[in-house]
Amino acid sequence: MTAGPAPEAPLLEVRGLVKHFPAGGGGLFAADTGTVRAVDGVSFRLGRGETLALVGESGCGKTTLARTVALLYAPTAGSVRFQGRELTGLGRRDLKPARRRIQMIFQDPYSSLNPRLPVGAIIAEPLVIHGLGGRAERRDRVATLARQVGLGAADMDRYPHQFSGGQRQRIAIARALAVEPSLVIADEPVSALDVSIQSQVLNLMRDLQAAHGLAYLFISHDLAVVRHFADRVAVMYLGRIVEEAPADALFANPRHPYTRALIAAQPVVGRGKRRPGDVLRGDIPSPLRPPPGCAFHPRCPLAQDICRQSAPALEAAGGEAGHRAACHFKDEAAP
Amino acid sequence: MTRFLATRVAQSVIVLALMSFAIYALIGLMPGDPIDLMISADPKMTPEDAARLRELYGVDKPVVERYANWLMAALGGDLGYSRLYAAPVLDVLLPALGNTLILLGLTLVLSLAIGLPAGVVAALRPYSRTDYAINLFAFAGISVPAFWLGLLLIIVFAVILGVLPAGGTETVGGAGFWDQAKYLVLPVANLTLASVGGHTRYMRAAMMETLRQDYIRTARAKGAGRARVVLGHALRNAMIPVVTIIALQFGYLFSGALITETIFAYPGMGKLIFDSIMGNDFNLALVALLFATLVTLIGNLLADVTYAWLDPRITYR
Amino acid sequence: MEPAPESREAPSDAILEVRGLEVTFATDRGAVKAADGVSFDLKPGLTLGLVGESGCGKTVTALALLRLVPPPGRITGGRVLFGGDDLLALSERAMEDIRGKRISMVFQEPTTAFNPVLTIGDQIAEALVIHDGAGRAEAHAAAVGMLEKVGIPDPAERAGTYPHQMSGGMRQRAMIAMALICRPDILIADEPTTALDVTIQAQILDLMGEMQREFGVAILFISHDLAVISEMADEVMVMYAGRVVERAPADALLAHPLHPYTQGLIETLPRHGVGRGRLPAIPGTVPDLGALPDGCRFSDRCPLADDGCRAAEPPLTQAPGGRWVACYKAAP
Repeated sequence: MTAGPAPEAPLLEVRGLVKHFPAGGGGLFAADTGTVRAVDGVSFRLGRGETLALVGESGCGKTTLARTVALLYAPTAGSVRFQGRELTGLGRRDLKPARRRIQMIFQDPYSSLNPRLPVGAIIAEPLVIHGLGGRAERRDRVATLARQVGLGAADMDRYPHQFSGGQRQRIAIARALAVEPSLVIADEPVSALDVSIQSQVLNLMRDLQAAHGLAYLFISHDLAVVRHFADRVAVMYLGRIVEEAPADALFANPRHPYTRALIAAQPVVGRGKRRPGDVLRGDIPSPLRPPPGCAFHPRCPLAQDICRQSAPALEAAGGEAGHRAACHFKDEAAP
Repeated sequence: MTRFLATRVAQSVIVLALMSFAIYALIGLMPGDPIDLMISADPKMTPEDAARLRELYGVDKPVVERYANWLMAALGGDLGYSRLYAAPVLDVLLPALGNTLILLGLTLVLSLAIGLPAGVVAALRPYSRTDYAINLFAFAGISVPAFWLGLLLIIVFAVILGVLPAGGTETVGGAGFWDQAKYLVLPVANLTLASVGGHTRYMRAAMMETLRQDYIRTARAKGAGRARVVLGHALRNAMIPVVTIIALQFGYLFSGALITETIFAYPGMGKLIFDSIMGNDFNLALVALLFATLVTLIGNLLADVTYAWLDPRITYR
Repeated sequence: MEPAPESREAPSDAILEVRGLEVTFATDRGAVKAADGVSFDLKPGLTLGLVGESGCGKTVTALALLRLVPPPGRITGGRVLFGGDDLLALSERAMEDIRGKRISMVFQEPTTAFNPVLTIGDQIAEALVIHDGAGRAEAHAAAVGMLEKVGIPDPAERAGTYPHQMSGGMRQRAMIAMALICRPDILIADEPTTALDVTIQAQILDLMGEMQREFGVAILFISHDLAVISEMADEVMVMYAGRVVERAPADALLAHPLHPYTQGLIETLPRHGVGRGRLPAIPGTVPDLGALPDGCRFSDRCPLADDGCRAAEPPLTQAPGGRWVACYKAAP
């Protein structure tokens, strides 16, 4: 383990992170058709051993944010400090130590594993990349990891297609853990899995967190999973965090109308047959042309003139520590 | 769309310019030049004569300079003079181009008219007896060498049966449209047989892929019958990849014509290019090859336009 | 095949009766039954929710009702009684008259379920052209009207656009319009909201309820998501590895599941009040249809299984309260 920074510094601190993509196919004669503002000024902190969930619908930028934090994309602007060290602007070589401590698990366990490598080699690959251990050491390490995620020694010579989706996600988790990360970014890790398998994988992730002191940046669209799994939750809409709070506070006392709408829209077992209710109208706008002012105003039941003109800042709300919301009417009673 | 077309035309001009230089340089690299041929034709020529001739024709200058001279002249409308045919290049080229376009056009129409329906029929009942029969013919067409097939056609229809002429474009003395048509039968048949198999296979593959799509199931769930599903829903989608392949094949067909035209002594572009290169007829070879490039480029442009017409998802900006 | 136990129910109120439906797929390792003795009824104006995990046979069951099972699958047994006919015995031509007219379907992926080269309006109008011989203008007008009903703004303009020009939610609205344009008796919805965002899902679920009230259509609603099923269904049917393991009125099934698999499905859901500890989990993996355990298919994952369970497959038997369960150990 590398020497840790001062104890009060969070494991990960993201400030004013922006990631824009050029829209359109590009090409020699193609016109510049605009900018996709995938992540548009996001700040958050993540402590050691903590789980922060990023929730939101498609186009909200949660996956782009995850990949930018994972250093897979270079940010357009902003700062990513990891273990007290600024990562933006570093070259490939300087990034490598941080890359080892930040690992990623993807949604689709079918396409994120190389189909032509046996599982043992897949799990060992990060060790090889980071030049850790000799051949024998690596073999032992792979065997230990396999055991930790519930795979057998005989499985190491088999290929990904011989495993079910849940087992493949276990392989992906073992691969991520091989190089002893302190932060694991999990992008919808259970969305592609069957219900009965989801809880197995979530339990495994929780056990490994306890055993290794992992911090999770957990991206999900499923509020039920997030509520169960996360310590803190950040809700994203069109590239920005609109509300962030400890999980219990967020679900008990949501301050942003979008958070309220998300919670209300989530189907729940045992609530009885659905009655047509207050359903959020309209579609999610394109991040290519986000509405002016508060990006949520065209769908918001509370929208006033001020919402159309100025974007609200993410500020303390709800009274509980660490609860922040970006809404001009965050302190008013819920309708 | 207009803007797209303008861009594509501009791109084509650039490609043509690059190709002209590449061809010019390549021909320049070939061993021997026209003066060598003149020397071998006239043993009494002295080295001094040869040097004078080289200077006269500009053959002694560096290739870039020669190319620049040629380009300026070409842009002024002077494509040069064919030494082999003792006529301006265009006068030689245009009739040959016309002949080849007739040959290729007929082949394409016939090959598509046979290949596409055959492919669709095969795709509707994959691995059935009909499918196997169609595949057998398609593979036979693809596998049999065109020159061998051409010779076979001549032997059977011209020599043994004597019903069709073996080569040329018309009977000496000319007997009108039907006479010329008779001369086209064998070369068109030869080229068609060589290309129809490919079209059948492409269409079959595209149609089978399309019939697996979700929207085909949607159409059936609406109560659409077989004909409506195939003609109304699948065909247009299946044509999208096929159009691309046909267009890309246009250049291939053009070169395929070279062999066929040589076998049937058909005075088209293929034969012209062959003769001009063998005869070191610089100017003619260069312009003929450029025309071949141009035809291929036009084929690709047509494919893009057809593509946009078939698939509304494609918007050309 | 077990005898159809539903014969004791009053047959009059069902619009569709499925009895012992069996769909077999030829695979490299021999024939597997993707649906094995599936029986249920659909009633006008009510929704039957069909829930299960991947490979449980729910989609195949839906496609079998319309006889659209893709090869190498084949319907190898059972009856689908509808309007006095057994749909499985009709000619293909007669079946075409049923599809889209009397029974229609909404698919999971609105992106791929529309033909990309035809306009939305033409695709919605098509069923009217096929079944009612409607003229172009008349069918188009009806399509625009239907688009308006499903809540698409500027319907006349939208009818002329292509599927890729619409958002996922709008496409699913259009798909519902397409399914309902001939006023069918039965609507089969196969994971209709799985590909959608949660706020859009809520809109579509509301729309389906609204359409059901307006047209009185019977809905077979298929989903892997028990929460969605619980909000939509009057009655719920749970499938596991090709068989129906439990069927009951929705509230009863969700409050007191009888089958250990249903119990597991409900318990594993992360829910409010469960707290942030470990979740209860069903051990093992979803079974491979080619390698099922002996006896009860769930026996290798079931906490209650004993030798009796591994000896013979439990039949679907009646329990009090209009319920059915296929388990020897089912709590009464």
